[in-house]
Amino acid sequence: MATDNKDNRNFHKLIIGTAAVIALLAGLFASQQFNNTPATPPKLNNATLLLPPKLIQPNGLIDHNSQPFNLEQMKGYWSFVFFGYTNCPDICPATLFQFKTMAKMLDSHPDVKAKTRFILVSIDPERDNAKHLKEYVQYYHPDFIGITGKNKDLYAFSRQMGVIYQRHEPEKKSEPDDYLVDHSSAILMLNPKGQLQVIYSAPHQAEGILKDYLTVYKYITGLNS
Amino acid sequence: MKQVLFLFLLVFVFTSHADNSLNISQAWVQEGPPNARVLAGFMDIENMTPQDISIESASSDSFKHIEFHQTINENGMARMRQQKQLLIKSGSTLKLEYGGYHLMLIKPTSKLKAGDKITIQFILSNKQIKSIELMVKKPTTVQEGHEHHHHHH
Repeated sequence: MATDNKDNRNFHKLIIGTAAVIALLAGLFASQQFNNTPATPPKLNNATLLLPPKLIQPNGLIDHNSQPFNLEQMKGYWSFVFFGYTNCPDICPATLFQFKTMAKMLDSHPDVKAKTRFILVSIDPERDNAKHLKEYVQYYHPDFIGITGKNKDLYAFSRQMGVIYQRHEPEKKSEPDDYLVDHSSAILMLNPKGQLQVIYSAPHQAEGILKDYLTVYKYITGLNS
Repeated sequence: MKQVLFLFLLVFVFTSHADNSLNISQAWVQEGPPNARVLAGFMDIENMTPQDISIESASSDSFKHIEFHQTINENGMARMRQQKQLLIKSGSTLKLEYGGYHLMLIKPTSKLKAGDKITIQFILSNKQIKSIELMVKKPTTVQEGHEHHHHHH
């Protein structure tokens, strides 16, 4: 009889133990499921997700067809934005080439591609007029957009975007219009409401950026649906 | 005229001597938009001589002028700085590559397309002239990989 009691007790312990393990596993599973819901921001490889996003209000800017490019024109698209200038031989062509590579890679995500734009903001309006900018960006892709404007409006826009740039006069000038412009190397991303949502840090590599973008796209689209 | 001819001959004599001083490989120009005012030239420059050699200046019929530049990526800023010359230390290789040193090729005299070949003359610190040929190529993603091991001097 004593032995039976002991067996019973052991049996109960086993049941309680098993239940505890099942509860624990269920809890783990549930928390993992919970982590997959949009409530937890995704981890990005080489980018910063701004939550909440920051409203940007560009003013006085024009696109490469000399049409106004303000908040209204930014709405409805995810826009990759890079600040540069066409007299830049190294970083800017390389970044535009990364944009081109990304545009090509987005062919396998047509729904995302239709909502994505690539923009070069020229911070060198003295040398880059709209017409020059158009020919320059469209060499990389016919859908790419060039934006410029007056110095004061470009400056205001850059400050809202957290971008810095500064004209740098070389010691020895071969020509009067020889100067360089130091500029932030980050790629900024505006969401379809025209808010600054993602900052991609240099070095830029198409696959890495696209992977982070698709993660953000899925997450933010999930939050809004 | 005779003096000019003599100078040319002198240059030729020196050029034939110069060919062993610097060994240049992987020389290429990145194709740009047709209205690009500047292009970048890249290459590996190896100095197998016992002396340090600098490239003092560069010129080409294909560009109005050529400068040496270094791109510096730090604290989230991309900066370009002109270099007076390119120093290649004895027994070392200087890589002109994306995100580091490059030739800044200013104001092309014609529209350059992938497949074109251009010639550049370097004037070296030992007064020799080195003539090199660069192929114009479309950019590739490979150049991005170079960024991680670019040289700080």
